[in-house]
Amino acid sequence: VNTAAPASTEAEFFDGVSARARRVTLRIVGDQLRIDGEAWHEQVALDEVQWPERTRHGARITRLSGGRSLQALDAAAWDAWWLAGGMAESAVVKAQQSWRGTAVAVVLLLVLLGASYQWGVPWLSRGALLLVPESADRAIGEAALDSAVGSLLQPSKLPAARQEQLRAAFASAVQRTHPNDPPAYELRFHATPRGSLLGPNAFALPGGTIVVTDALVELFKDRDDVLLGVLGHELGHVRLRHGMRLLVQVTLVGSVTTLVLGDFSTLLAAAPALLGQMAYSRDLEREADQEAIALLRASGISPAVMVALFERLGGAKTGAGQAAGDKEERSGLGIAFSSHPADEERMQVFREAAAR
Amino acid sequence: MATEPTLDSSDSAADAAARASREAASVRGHELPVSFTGSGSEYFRIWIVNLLLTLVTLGLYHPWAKVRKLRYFYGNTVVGEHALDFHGDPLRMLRGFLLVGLLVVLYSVAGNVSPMAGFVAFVIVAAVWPALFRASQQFRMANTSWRGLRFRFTGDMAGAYRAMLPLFVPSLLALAALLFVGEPAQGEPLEAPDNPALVGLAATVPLAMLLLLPLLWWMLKKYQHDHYAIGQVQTQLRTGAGSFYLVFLKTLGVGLLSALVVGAVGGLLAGAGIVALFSGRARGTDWFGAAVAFVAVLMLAYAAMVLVVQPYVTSRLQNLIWSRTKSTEVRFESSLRFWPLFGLSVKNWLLVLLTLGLYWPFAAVAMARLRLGAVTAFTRNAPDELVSRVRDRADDASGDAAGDLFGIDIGL
Repeated sequence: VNTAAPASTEAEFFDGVSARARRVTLRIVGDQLRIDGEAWHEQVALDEVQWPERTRHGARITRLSGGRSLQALDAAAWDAWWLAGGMAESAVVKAQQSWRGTAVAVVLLLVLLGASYQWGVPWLSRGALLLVPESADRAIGEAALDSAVGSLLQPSKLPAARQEQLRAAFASAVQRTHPNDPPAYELRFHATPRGSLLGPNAFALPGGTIVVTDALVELFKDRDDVLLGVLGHELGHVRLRHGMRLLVQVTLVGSVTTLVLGDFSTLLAAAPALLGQMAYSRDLEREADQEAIALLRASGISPAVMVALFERLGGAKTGAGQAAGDKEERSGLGIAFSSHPADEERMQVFREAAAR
Repeated sequence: MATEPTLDSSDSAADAAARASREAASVRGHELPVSFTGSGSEYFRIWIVNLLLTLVTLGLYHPWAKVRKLRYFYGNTVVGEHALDFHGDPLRMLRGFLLVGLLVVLYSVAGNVSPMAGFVAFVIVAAVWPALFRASQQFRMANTSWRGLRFRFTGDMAGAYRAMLPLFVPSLLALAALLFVGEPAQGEPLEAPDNPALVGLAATVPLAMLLLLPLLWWMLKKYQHDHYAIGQVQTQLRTGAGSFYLVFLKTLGVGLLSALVVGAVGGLLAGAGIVALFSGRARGTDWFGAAVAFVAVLMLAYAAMVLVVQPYVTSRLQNLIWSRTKSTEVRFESSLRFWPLFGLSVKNWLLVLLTLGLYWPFAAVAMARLRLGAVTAFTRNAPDELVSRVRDRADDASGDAAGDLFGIDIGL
């Protein structure tokens, strides 16, 4: 900025009707902008002028009423004149034009991204759950079940008496754990086709359906206490509406990453969203494990029985040669891509809960 | 040409020299080179502040961020000696942004609730899509100015729907055939292998869509470039669908060539993994190795797509479309070459990945500089003589927001 404040600056005037430029001289006189042309002059009230924002590169186009505009001939001279005229620029423009402001913005951005990832998104999704009716959960769960029954899930081959026995044991455990507000659920047993990746498994669908595979019941035919723990874990997913929560959280993370990187590549934007989904899914598994511990405790069973679950499942996988799980050698990288926390971590949680 | 009546009434004898130069120029036309003067570091600063404010306000700042970005890009797009300007009003754009955001949420929720609801939502979006496309074009043009004159988009509603016929007709035919052959909603959908009509349909529809893609692209571009206007000048896209088919055919060749290269490189990489997979020793680490090799081949294929095929088709289409955009008063020349674009794409991708996205604003500026710098406009009359006859009112901003969210935006 020159020490001698320039009182006037040169610009081109466009009337908004013709593309012809007229050379003018601009002065700020009191609260008026004075425009001097070759054979005419005009005064415009300063608060009717839409000034351009200062950038290092690019044109300075000022808008006047009626589609008329002024274009600076020399951006640097324009800025010096404009600032000398006592104009103030917005905080946003100042931040954009200084590297210090930019550095602050970068730090704030990183802190904000980290905090929303850690707390903001889970918190927001819990709030959003209050707005989403539970019928939406049920509709999603039913659609998922409809598409799975028949192909992935077949009618159970377990004896009716065994099914009834497990149902009754679980129902009374639920009643003991949540005597005042027992969550609504539907327990289903299903066989899986040969060679299915599901194997011994249990999962909860949004809306309250809990599916247990015959293979799991058979693997633990002597351990009803473990099966009860598994059901308690799935009931945790149901009670806390984890299916819908994950959907909301993934949508939120997806919108943020699309906002940041979507312009460049949607694929690149999807990667952090996917990793985010996996991390949130692991958090939800941890929450569900706590629910399982509560249910086992209320039934007078030590949470330590769940250690047997991981030991037998691990044994079943390696024994059957199921390489797909690749559970035995999971590095930190593997865990980042996994929907469940490492088995060791979960076993430790159950052991510690038993010790308390 | 010199006897042409000048549209400017204030023309006087004092302009004799200017008129002489105009006459000399009218043989070749007035040359208006296009250039981009923005800098990556400056756009980085604008981008990061925009991003921060957008996140802090849970997305509500987005229209203001967009206006700042567009004003920076327009203000640095210099045609002849004057920059473009963007006049969009953030408050109006916020309304459109919220409306489209609501539509997108409803659309994704519908898809999650049931396939039928998702299908209905898809049909509704498809039905209003051409109208949104037209609204987006109108909004963009009406809010863009050069030398104080607003641009206009003069395409009508029927034209927007007509332009999308190559997409709609096969889809509707397929839908009708599906309903005619049998109600597939219950039981097994589409995968009844004993029904030859369904199998034939499943095979022909994607093929027909692929064959019609260049036609669709041509009709869309023709709809756009036939209806850009400023002052008394209106552009036309003077080329047939054949030239688009030629570009797509050449692109297919480039794609096949790069697929061969990827196949050769990837084959070496995957070879070991596949051998391990089929030799019966597939457990643990071998499986992992095969998976890594497979992912590596996929990534290579994606890289070839983004770094070779995309720059190729971008350069060829930009040159074709802009060099054939002309009228009696104006014409364009675009000479965007493949190799510089390829080099820039490689550099941009590498640096964006290495900096976890922070290089993106630099990449955007470098891309704008290369692509815009390749274009030159020629006008028969001096640009001074452009005169606006109508002052249009900007239409609703939701069209622009829709175009933005669904990835449709104008090239220049």
